[in-house]
Amino acid sequence: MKTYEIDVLVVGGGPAGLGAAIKARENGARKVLVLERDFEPGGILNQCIHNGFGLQYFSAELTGTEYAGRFIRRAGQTGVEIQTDTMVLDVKPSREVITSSAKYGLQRFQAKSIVLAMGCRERTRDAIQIYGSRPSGIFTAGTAQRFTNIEGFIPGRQVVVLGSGDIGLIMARRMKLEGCEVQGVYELLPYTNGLSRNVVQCLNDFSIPLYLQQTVTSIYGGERIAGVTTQKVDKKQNPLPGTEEYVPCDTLLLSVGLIPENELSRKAGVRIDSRTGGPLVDQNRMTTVPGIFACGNVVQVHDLADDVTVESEIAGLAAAGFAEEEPPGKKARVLVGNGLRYVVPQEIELSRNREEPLLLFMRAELPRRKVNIVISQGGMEKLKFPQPFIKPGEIIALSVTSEMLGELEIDQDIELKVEGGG
Amino acid sequence: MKKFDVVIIGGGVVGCAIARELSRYNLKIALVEKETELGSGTSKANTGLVHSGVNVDNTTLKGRLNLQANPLFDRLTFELNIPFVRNGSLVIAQNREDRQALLRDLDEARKNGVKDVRWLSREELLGKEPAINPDSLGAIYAPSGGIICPFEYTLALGQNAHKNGVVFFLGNRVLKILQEKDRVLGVETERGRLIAPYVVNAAGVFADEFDSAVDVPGIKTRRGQYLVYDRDYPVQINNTIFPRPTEVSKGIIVTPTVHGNLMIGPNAEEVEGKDSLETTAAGINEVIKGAQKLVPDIDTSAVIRMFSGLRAVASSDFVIKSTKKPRGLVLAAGIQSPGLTAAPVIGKLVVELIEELGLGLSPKSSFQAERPSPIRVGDLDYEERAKLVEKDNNYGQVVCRCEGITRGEIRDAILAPLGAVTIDGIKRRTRAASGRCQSGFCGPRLVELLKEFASISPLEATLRGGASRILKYRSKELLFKAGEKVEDL
Ligand SMILES: Cc1cc2nc3c(=O)[nH]c(=O)nc-3n(C[C@H](O)[C@H](O)[C@H](O)COP(=O)(O)OP(=O)(O)OC[C@H]3O[C@@H](n4cnc5c(N)ncnc54)[C@H](O)[C@@H]3O)c2cc1C
Ligand SMILES: Cc1cc2nc3c(=O)[nH]c(=O)nc-3n(C[C@H](O)[C@H](O)[C@H](O)COP(=O)(O)OP(=O)(O)OC[C@H]3O[C@@H](n4cnc5c(N)ncnc54)[C@H](O)[C@@H]3O)c2cc1C
Repeated sequence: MKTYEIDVLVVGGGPAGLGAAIKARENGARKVLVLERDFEPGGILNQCIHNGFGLQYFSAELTGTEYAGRFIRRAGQTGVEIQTDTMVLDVKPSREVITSSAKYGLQRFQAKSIVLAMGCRERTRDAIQIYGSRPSGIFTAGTAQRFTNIEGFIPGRQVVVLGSGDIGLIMARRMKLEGCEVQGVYELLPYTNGLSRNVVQCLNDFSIPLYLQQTVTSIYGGERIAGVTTQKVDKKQNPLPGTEEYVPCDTLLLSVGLIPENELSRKAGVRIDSRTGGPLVDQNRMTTVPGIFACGNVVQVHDLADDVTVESEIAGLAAAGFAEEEPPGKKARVLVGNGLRYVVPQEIELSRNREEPLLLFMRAELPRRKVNIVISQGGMEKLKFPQPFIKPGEIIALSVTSEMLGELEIDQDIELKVEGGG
Repeated sequence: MKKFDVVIIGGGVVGCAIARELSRYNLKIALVEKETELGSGTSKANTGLVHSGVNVDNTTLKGRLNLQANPLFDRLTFELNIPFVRNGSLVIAQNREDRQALLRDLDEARKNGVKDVRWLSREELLGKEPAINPDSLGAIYAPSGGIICPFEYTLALGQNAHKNGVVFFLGNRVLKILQEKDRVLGVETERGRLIAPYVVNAAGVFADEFDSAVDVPGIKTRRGQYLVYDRDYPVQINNTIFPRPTEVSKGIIVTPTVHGNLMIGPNAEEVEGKDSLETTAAGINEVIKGAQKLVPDIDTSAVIRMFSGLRAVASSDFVIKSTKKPRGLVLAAGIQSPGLTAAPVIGKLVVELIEELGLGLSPKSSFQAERPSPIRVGDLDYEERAKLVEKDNNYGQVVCRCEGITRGEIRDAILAPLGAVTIDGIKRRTRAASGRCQSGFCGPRLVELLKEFASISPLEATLRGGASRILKYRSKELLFKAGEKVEDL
């Protein structure tokens, strides 16, 4: 096995990986290589033929494939190398990487820095424990999307969607557009998990019913799924006896959550934040292993590809500038307070990059109106960001300007929390 | 009309083991299986244990066969090239009553010749398995208890029998056992008759369903449910952990699988119907509670799969005998637990029964006991792997990212004798799609590979045969036919 020397090696050729690679190349990294398992770069966007991408980053409404296309072209123009059909098997803390490919055989790379951008996977039927028989016709929404949009097949004609994540909402509409009967979208929580715009554009505009606080509790059918039992749930999400309803269907699509794909990150020895399910990162998206960075859905499940791009550029820039000799500065922790599920980054080096605004991404625990997101240090309130409306399904992005950063003590942990509202 | 010396009904572990034993002799043998893949019945959904023989009753046939079979597994699994580990079993005393009973069972096990069986004190037990409930009072330890992949085991028996000349009819149901003047003539199948003077009924839970099969006791089904965990699940154990057995079953067990996943189950519940393979809230909760008694940290945070299996219960024991009427019929029915363990000996026993009925047996000099190992890329180190990929680049392309299974391995599984023709078939042979994403990523690729290597079009690809198709329409098909009634295929 030959060893190849690389400046910035990127694992995963989705928008996160491509964005990071381009930024690294533009900022002085000479040899930048993206390794992608699939036959084409673009990641999950290749199956997103719907529009709604790029509104923020390009101020244009693009489809997912168009959005990816722009990055693939720019990667070519800037001299980023992309190697497809290449699965990364192993990432070592020493930044050695092993890959397997039909085209290139087994390869070993030694990188100056690495960017992890493996995306995420979907939660399955068994992970959320839906009982009943085990027929065919049960798909995660993303898998059904791939079959429909890339392979050219539709799984069935009478569809129940469980979960109101964005992919579920988009697939409910997609199935309807294919002439299927969509029985409804069932959501365990009292609110949807997807973007508000997707609820409007995918369900309301197509008269697809949304059933909140209801779930699927059992599956029927010997060979192919024939129907499901739906049930209302109480406040603690326990099914309410007596509310069972049989809904016939030949297809069940699950959109019940995404999980960052971090098997390689674990092998690389990076610490995982149990709140995000992704690597613990600093504001440059460096993980706890020096020289290994991460961005995109592998760090936190993003709603918008545009946010992925923003994050990937941070990681790409820092990966290009990474120099092992430079001792790391002191990092303060970002603590997650009341009303929030997580905050990314989990650590910041307040002494660095003080001219650049600091971007903080977070998710709310519950939907609330008219709240403040408060940043405090040592119990003292330092900064306040009013928010008209927050919900768990939409990431909150705060930009802390350099002036605001001046308010903060360099060595102290910061805490974020939600205050007020209803 | 096809003529054979022996026809075996059922391609589970028992049927396949019988086929392999018979294939040692100069005979014409056929095996008929109603499903398109071997091992689609009980043999695919069980705990996968090669029982040590602790807690068996040696006055029963199943007990005796268990004791005889366990020592055979080192050689058998070597010949068949299938993974097998004697990981040891521990039967835990959870209270003083258990302890007393288990100490008696230990004596019994020693008398029965269970190899190296001994008592572990509480300290020894917790030293060996720190995750075990600290309230435990000790355990019977049987190092000879083992774990095996039940599917690969069944398949390997079948493939080896095939190599030694057994003819397999898959996806073909036996409708009737033919007889004339109280003598077996053969079987009537969905696709014609197979003529043979000897028929073996190894049809699992369906063994009582042939019109003319007299003397077969009615078979009840007792379901057991399971949960399987992610390989990264932090709760880990090495031995197979049993509670003290009850009258009807060995109880809810915590065990590693031979592939390194933690698995818990089964419960035991009588169910109607021979296809009642559902999981239920009550059953799964019973399993979790049972497992927590042994290993308190078990929760549901990393479950990747739930499933259930059906025990075929004819009486309290196996039914292995030749029938008086008609002559020529041998039953291997009601093979409940420990059927997986006992199968190799059941095979030998059935051969003896057929010989007693008058079939002359002459050993076949060309018999080959070995079944070559499929290539398992994940078992190789990187240098070996690089060499393999240089020779055949199909082993370079990883299709299943959770389990790291390559295109080459999936191709081999499809093209091998008695190869995979369904998604589940690929999964059981290679482990593709059996990881944490449960085919989310590789599902579409597997459908493609079935087309490429088995010429099964995507619209005909099934999860496990029959009407279990994965995909029903081409895109736009429903739109072109809007207004018309679209026929379900
Ligand atoms: C179905 C769906 C619909 C969406 N709809 C919208 C929308 O309407 N609007 C919007 O703005 N955003 C949308 N998003 C969000 C956006 O597309 C994602 O956030 C974005 O694609 C994430 O980018 P990523 O690069 O982190 O991950 P991915 O796009 O998943 O890319 C990860 C890449 O890494 C590769 N990889 C993984 N492991 C390895 C390995 N070991 N070796 C080599 N390669 C590997 C994968 O093959 C993949 O190509 C949607 C997302 C999904 C899943
Ligand atoms: C929950 C559970 C846990 C168990 N755990 C263990 C264990 O850990 N260790 C152990 O040793 N044993 C265990 N067992 C027992 C073991 O799994 C069974 O004894 C064994 O698999 C039975 O094999 P079989 O070949 O008799 O039945 P099956 O595997 O069911 O095979 C019968 C075959 O006959 C076919 N068939 C039926 N009717 C027809 C027909 N008309 N025409 C053609 N083909 C037909 C079926 O499709 C099927 O493939 C367990 C069993 C259960 C249910």
